[in-house]
Amino acid sequence: MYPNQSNTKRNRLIGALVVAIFLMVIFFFVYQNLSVKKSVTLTPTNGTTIEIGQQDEEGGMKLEETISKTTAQSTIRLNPGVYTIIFSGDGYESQNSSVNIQKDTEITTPPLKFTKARLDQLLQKDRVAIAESLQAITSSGDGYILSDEKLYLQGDWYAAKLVPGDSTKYDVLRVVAHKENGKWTAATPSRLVFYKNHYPKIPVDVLRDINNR
Amino acid sequence: MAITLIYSAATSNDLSDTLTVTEQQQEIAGGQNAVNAAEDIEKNAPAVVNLPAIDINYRIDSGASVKYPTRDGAVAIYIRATDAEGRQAALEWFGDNSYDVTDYEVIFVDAPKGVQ
Repeated sequence: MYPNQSNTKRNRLIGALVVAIFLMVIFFFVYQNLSVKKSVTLTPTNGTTIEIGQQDEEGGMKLEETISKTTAQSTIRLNPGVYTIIFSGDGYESQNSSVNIQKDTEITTPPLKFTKARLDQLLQKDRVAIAESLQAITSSGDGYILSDEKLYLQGDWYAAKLVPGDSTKYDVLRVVAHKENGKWTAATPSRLVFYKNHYPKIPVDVLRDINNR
Repeated sequence: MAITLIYSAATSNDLSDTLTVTEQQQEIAGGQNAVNAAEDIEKNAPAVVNLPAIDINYRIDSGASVKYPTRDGAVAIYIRATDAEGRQAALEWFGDNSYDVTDYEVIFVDAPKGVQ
């Protein structure tokens, strides 16, 4: 056998090995992408942004490193695990969540709270309509006036104190109203304090806030 | 009560022995139920362990729930205060003691003035 023939054979063997390794690497990545990684569809709604990334090292809900940030529907592939998601948007309070991705998942923006500035602006706009809806309560008896008014969540919940003309004789009361289909109605009678189990349809954060103001 | 039952067992026939043991078991079970109910109350309404709260303007007690009269561990807070100032002060007692009044069924014994 000539040395040239031996070298050619060896080169062919090395070439075949390189191609085999290359194919294995390709196969590994394709396999991992298709079988191990999960499909995650991000669907931001109402002009919001969804940002997803690695959790911080302490396992909290802070974002360590952004993987994707989108304002339009998009699909990404992620390894199974726990991720942090930040929902945000103009006029909305940002909300951090944690998600454990073990299968194909769709993530949609939940109803986000409006910012205080936006709620205050809405209150100015809806104040007359709210006062009219509570007129039966405020006009009865002792000349109560609405005080410490506040809107909550998406501007569809309202609570206020009812301050009597003579607070030495009459109690300072509280009232909650709700906007549904564009119309405000009283969600509670006027009461000194609200027990959460008496009003299961009212978000408990609204009751806690007005009870403790 | 339990001492009386044990004494009866020692001085009576076989049948009453059996009966007495059963009664004793019921006593134990009843006692355990009472302990469980007390634990439920402490868990559901932790402010109760600090009651009664008595002030010159008000008195706060615990009592039967009106909302859940048959539920084990259900308890209501009864506030006695004859004027608006006393009732307001009684409500502030919750916040002052790190409780949220929203979690409690509060019943005003003296009806607040101006409630619709």
